[in-house]
Amino acid sequence: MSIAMIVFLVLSIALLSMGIYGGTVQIPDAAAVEAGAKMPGAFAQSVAQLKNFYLVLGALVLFIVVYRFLFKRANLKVQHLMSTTIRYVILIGVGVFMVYPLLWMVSATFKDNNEIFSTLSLIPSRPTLDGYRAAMNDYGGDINIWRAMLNTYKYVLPRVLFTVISSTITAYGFGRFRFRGRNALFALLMATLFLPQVVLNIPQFLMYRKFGWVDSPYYLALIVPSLFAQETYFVYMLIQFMRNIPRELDEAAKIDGCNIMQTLVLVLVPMLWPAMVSAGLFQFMWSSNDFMGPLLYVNSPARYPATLFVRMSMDADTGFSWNRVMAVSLISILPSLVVFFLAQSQFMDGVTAGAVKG
Amino acid sequence: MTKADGASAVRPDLRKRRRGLSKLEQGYMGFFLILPWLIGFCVFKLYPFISSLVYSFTDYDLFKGVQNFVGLQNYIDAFTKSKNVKALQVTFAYAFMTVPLKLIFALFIAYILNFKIKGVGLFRTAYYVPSILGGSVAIAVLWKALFKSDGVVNTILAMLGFESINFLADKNWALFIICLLRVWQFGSAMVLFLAALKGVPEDLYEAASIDGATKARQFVSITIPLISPVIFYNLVTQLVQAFQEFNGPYIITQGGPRNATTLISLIVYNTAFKDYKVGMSSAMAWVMFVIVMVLTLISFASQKKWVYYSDGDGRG
Repeated sequence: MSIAMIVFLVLSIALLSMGIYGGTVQIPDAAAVEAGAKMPGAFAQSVAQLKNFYLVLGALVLFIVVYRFLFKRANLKVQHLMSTTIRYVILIGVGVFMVYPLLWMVSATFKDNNEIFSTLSLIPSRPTLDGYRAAMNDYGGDINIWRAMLNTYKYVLPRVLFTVISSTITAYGFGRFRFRGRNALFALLMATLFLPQVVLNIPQFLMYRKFGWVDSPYYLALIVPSLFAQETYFVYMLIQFMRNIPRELDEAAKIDGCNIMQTLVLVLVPMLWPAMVSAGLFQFMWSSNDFMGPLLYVNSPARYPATLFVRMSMDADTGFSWNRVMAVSLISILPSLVVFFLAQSQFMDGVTAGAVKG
Repeated sequence: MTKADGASAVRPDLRKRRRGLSKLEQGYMGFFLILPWLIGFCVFKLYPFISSLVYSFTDYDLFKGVQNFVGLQNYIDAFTKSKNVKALQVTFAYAFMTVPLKLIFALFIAYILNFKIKGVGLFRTAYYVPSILGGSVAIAVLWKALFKSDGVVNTILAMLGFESINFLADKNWALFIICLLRVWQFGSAMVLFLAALKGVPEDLYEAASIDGATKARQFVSITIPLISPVIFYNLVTQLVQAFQEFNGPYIITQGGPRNATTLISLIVYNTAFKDYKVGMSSAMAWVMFVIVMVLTLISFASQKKWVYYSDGDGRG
């Protein structure tokens, strides 16, 4: 046995015994103190409070020591089996941590409000659609979840379309042409990648207010900037992609008599298509999730998109009707979930293509 | 990341052809293509950026407009008013808690996934879904349901025999819960790490293990240096993002309890849209901008020390 192992063994025994000791400490209640019961010392009190923590940590350290010990003794085949097992245990454990909240959310929408927080079970004991029924309610006659969803996609879809087109054209200009000031402008473009939006929010708000874009029925404040390729991530991502497309293709198209836009549309777009789809998908997700934008630029409840609607219904209901809140929330993210599962591989490719936040 | 430029530098034939474009194309066409972006940049980025700086030296009111030029007063307030100083502290605490936790977790999971694991795709999807949905209000609402005083996590704690904790009302816990929401979304960082790990040549590990290097040693001496560009990329993007966190605290805790989760972005929003003090708010935004800028520059400057680019010229 190595020294490190002995140290860890001692540590785990110390932790476990502290946990057990903590379990034996009696903390008298106020009445008992009045009657003359002795209050345990500050140390004993703190140990008693954290007894479970010590027990869990001690058991964990003990497990690691025993595992290492057995691992060193085992032959190669058993070692392989042991490390594979532990990897799966970690992966599944983390997987539960990742997925359980989402599954809980789904199951909560089918529970009644008394059951939601009283059990951890994912299967409702008395399944009910009350949550969904309540989720359909109107708010002041102006807005309900379906209207809110419709409102969301009224600006999300144009934004996706415009972003992809404008970003592709900008990427084409930067990626394929030399012109005076190109390098300086490119540096500027890259700098905006790191420009925090928070600095821009307030002056943008004042400007859009002057333009009359705040609370516009056409969501102008949310849509118009996407016409001008202002989401630098996508421009950058498309430029990176374009670099891997051989220039010989452009040359050949030119020789065949294509003009510049024809070259873009007929030659580059088919090659760039996967990257453009990725950009569109990410823009779809980010725009549907966007909260700050609608919070600033949409005021009247009739125009609320899903994000604002979900928040409003939470504020209205906290405390009693969580199945309704969860149902509204789930409906609001359902389209994003469906899109994600249909286009998973494009998302993974998009992330690794070079530029992505989140 | 500028591999293509590097390639054309060693292949003069490509360069020559580039010069072969007609004068017109070299001169104007590219510029016309980027013109929409340039206009957008001036209107939606540059002008707001500069006017934000100008406002920060005035007492601009959301409804009354500019009244007076106040010099550095807003900046003095930013560093002396206890509410603002607290927001700065909280933001630093948040960023320096979230970013390392998220990156270490992402790297750890990517490292395990990179062994020949059956069902990689399934695990990867399970880990990635939260990052896709995580920014949404729905997930913030879910987080509130998980961590409220009689929420799911407290039900679990009660079953294990722990005392329940009022996470969102306890000033020592609230910030950590917001941080946990972002750590939970480690998926996109993990996907990047996984792709980078797959790119590390197998034979390096083989050579190292023949020389007697342990797994831990291999990880530190081979894996970390070879994926350092991705670590760097993740570090910078996550840092910039962490300093701008808004949705989590705004929806889950409204900045409470007792301003324990009031990050700078919340102060900026509240000062401008609740107190109508646009000038003060702009000053706070600029303080944040300078902090983010300095941290980004430090990261870029530190690159030389620890980021290893295999093709020499490839500066991100």
